[in-house]
Amino acid sequence: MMQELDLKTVGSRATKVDGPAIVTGRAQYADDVQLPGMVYGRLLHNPHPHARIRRIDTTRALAVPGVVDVVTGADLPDLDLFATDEVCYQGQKVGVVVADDPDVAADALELIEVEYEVLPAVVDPLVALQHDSPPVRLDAPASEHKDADGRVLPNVTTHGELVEGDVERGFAEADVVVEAEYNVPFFHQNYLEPNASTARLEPDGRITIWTAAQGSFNIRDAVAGALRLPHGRIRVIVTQVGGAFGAKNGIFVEAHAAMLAMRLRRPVKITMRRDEEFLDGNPAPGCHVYLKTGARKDGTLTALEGRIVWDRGWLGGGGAANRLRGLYRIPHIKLESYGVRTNKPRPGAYRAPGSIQTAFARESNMDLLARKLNMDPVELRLMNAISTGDPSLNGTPLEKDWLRLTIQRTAAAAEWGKRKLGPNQGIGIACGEWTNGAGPSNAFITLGEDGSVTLLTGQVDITGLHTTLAQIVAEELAVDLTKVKVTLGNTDMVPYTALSAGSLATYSAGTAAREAARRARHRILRAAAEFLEVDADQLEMGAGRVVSRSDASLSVGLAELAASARRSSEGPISGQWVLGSLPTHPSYSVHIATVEVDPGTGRVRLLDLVAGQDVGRALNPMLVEGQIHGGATQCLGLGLMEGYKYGGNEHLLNADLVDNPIPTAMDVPVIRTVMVEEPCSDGPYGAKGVGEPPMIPGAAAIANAIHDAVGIRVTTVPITPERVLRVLQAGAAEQA
Amino acid sequence: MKQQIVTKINGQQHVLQVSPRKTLLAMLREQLQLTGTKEGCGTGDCGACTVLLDGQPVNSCLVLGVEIDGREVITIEGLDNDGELHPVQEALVERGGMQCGFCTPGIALNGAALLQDNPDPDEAQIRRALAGNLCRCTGYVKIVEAIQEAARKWREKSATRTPAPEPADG
Amino acid sequence: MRSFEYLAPSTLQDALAALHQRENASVLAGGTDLILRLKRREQSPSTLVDIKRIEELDGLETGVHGLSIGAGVTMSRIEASAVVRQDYAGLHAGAATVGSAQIRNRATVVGNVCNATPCADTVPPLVVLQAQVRMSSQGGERRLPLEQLFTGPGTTVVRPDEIVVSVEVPLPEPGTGSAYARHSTRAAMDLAAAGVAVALTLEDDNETCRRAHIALGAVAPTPIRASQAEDILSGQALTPALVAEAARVASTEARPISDVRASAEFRQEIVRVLAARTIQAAAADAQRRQAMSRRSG
Repeated sequence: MMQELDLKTVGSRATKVDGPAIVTGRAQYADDVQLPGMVYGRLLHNPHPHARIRRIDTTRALAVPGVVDVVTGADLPDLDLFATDEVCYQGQKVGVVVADDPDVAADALELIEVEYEVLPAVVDPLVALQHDSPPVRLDAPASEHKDADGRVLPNVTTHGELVEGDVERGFAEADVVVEAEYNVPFFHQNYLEPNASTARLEPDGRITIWTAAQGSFNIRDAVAGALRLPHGRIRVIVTQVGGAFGAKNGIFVEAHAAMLAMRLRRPVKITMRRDEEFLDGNPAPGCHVYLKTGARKDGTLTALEGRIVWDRGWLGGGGAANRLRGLYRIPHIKLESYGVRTNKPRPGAYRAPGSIQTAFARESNMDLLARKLNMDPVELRLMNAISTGDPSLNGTPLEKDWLRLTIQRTAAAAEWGKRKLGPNQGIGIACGEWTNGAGPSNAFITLGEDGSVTLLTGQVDITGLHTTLAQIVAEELAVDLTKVKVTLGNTDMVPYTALSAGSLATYSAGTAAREAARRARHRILRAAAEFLEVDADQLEMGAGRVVSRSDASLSVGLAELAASARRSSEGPISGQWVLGSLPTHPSYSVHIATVEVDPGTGRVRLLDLVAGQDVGRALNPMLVEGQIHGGATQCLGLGLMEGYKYGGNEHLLNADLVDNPIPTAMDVPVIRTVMVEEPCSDGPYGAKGVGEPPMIPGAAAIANAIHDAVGIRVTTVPITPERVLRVLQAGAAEQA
Repeated sequence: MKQQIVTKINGQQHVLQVSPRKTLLAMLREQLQLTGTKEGCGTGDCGACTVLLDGQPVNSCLVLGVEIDGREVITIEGLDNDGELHPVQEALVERGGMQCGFCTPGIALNGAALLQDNPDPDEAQIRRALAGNLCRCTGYVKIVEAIQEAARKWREKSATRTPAPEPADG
Repeated sequence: MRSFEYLAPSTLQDALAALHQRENASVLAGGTDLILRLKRREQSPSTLVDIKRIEELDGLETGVHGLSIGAGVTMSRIEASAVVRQDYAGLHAGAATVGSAQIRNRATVVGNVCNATPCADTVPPLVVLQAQVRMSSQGGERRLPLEQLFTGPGTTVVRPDEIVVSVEVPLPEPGTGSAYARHSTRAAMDLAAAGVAVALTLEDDNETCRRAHIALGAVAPTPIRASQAEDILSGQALTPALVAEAARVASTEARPISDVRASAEFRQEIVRVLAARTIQAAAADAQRRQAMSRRSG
């Protein structure tokens, strides 16, 4: 049972503190920053997947009236802001034009002459993996990785292996084995707000940057690194963030705007267009997975063997394989992972990075296994799910039976096994796991002399954090929620704060806010004790006042107390908390999708989605439901329509929101949420991170539902009508 | 070469000098500092730039500023009534029909236009009306709920203002 | 967008004069496609002639002879027209499927025709409804069957000094019904990977097909007729087997390409599936209209 706390504001469906500003258009997003004397930068992007730059001539661009500056790599010999010799992906930055009008900058952009020598390119990670693949980068350090025949693999940047037990033995013990190959393309976060950054050189020589990001300090550090400046030269102010989903962890155009502001001694704004976001953003990496799962007749998993090839774009890098095991007990495991370079942009984080792709493969294989065993997919999962005391993915033992509870309650809500489905309709289940991060974070609380409370934190609010923090402060200080104002501190105002990413923000800043509020509360009670001349332990707080428990006529309002504290020896009333880290716990999500497949066109219509999640405690159920709805929709978008497509010439074919679509209101069914509230021992009031888990299982749940509906298995996302029809026809041909 | 236009924006008359190649969106944001109207794609695919042109929702990124000469525009800054939120705005806040909020101005305006046309839309009609307003955060669930709630408020409001006419043959 | 001169004449005469006098002028109606191309700098006219202020081009006229859709008429107006819904169901479906509410409030039917994109949603229905295009220039007026307008993707026989002033759709004869269906990945805000429009005239028995028109979108450089499939249906009872055969033949008449939206093979298959469904839908529409006219007659 849920631990009963007497909570008033925490746990309520409080509306967003920034709601009125958002809904009236007053909230200020990155591109809304306008400064006197501001000029506009527009970037020049390379059009080839791979090429050598022979020559750049900016003379004609510089001559355009209204153009203030044209900068290429040749002007910045010590910095890596622009490619100078080799370009390794379509969209790589080659130069920038600054003008007093964005359209004039675009005019001048057309007049920059760049001569390219086109080089062979590779965008398929399985091709890039081979020894005879064209090299993605000519200037890359020689690869240390070789194939079985000793030949150098030029584009392989990492190779890892995870072995537990004896996988051969595990398969020998198995009565049933399934294996399949899965593909996930690059896919984009598609936050609605394109990146925009404005930079200004201050009179003291420092630089201020306004940008929409998930953390001001990461931006400060990255800009300092890119421009080779000490951190202290840079101040970052994060604006309202118009969607981020992991993408806005790092810099896009911040360093370019700052460099130009220093050069020109004028404020400079650079706003990316939607096509630039696709070409030169940091989408989620794609991968190719081979996965083999073995089980005994009774369904007990015995072995898992897999190989995952991560498509890491032009800079390469690694990617884990352990998430392929995820959330099941499996004694014998052998998982191999490769990170390969391709002529694509460098991928970044996207809501539950690594979990989405691996869950698609893992949960599809579990469904195949259930079919082969003739076992209920829910039963199979319950049987193998890790339970209380079992090690979770990061090794810590599970405090509670969270996963199994989430499976059971979601299945019950979806009436699993009881629903009557029509022809070509099917139902499918899949599970996901995410362990949130924690800290560093902070909270600084001040009691105002009008009885209001100010909370200052460095933790960026992406979609509701500050509302939840205000609830926590209101709860602890027993004041009305409207009395609490939350301010985001910039890099000059607060200590280093982690990114609001990986579902850590509420977990970390929520803890900091609660601890800071408790300190403020002690301080208030001491001040009130002095004021009322009673013992502090005789006092309690409520409705913005401090009252004596024994004599209700003895009381003082917070406003009066704050005013009198000015003159006290301890000074004005405040409370603060800075935290480094916290123990964390895994959170689980379970999706059950019901679909209908049009056997003529291959179109899949989602009839219903039940999204269950182990949330610890919902500090604001309305906001948590919102996270579940949104995450689930993004994953069903990946499942059915999203993803980068490349043509025969290695060019990106779909750098726009029509051909690289995201779901519209007409593509999404009503999503029913199931919140499993079994608090963990370390999050604020038992809460766990809630942002990533709903993103994880949806695509596999859809694939499994399609299999249930029409008896076919699609192993590549997005599961487009064309893919469904192709597999349907292949199946029909096989039967014929 | 700039051209002069006379237009009414949020009820206020403006005489503006506009370069023909500036979109209505750029004119609102850069020239009039009405930055509540957002640019999400610039190609008419996301609806973040929705404004009401002579009462009808349009993508301001695909309208030229000069085209609104003599016409009337309502932006998100003009949807409320002197600080009193429009029922759609109110419901979006109350029902959690927003997260990052970048799509919200467009959705509020389009929702308001829908209710003007159809004060009692069903869920399918709401979803169809909002199909041109992409939202990446909410999965649309609470947006649709908010519009339904706003429709109820809207009907109550109109009922108190103008009593429903008696059926002619009643 | 590169710079251009903007004119907004209030009479057709002034608009035609402007086009006549200027090299490289473009006609601006709804702008939902043109402004996009200007933004991408794919097209850079020196002058835009905005025809939305010309009252005589703003009419949506319905009558016993048919439908006249002026150059200023938006998709939304088509969608809202009870007459179009009643008598030109295929056109109604095509207009209602375009873009979003915001797009339909700007985009015009005539603009959709003039842009000549193979995937235009109103063109196949207009073709099967035997629409004609009226063009004006200072030299006078001419009319062409819509089918003869297109010369390739994005190109038409409309001269630079001409304005398409209206599309004229004859009133479908009694017993005629029409339908349009397209395939796209999303339920809305998408472009057709393939589209099929059908207009059928049924004999009084409500089963035999007197005449059929079938047009295909997005499966050839221009919208095309599936005339062999039409021949299969003409004079025959619409049995499921016959409909299936006509649909199969229609798919062989498609000449699709593979692109980002779909492969050629998939398009061909989709045409078969959509053709069968659209033939049935057009027949049902014919029966509905027949029943309505009997009731009112």
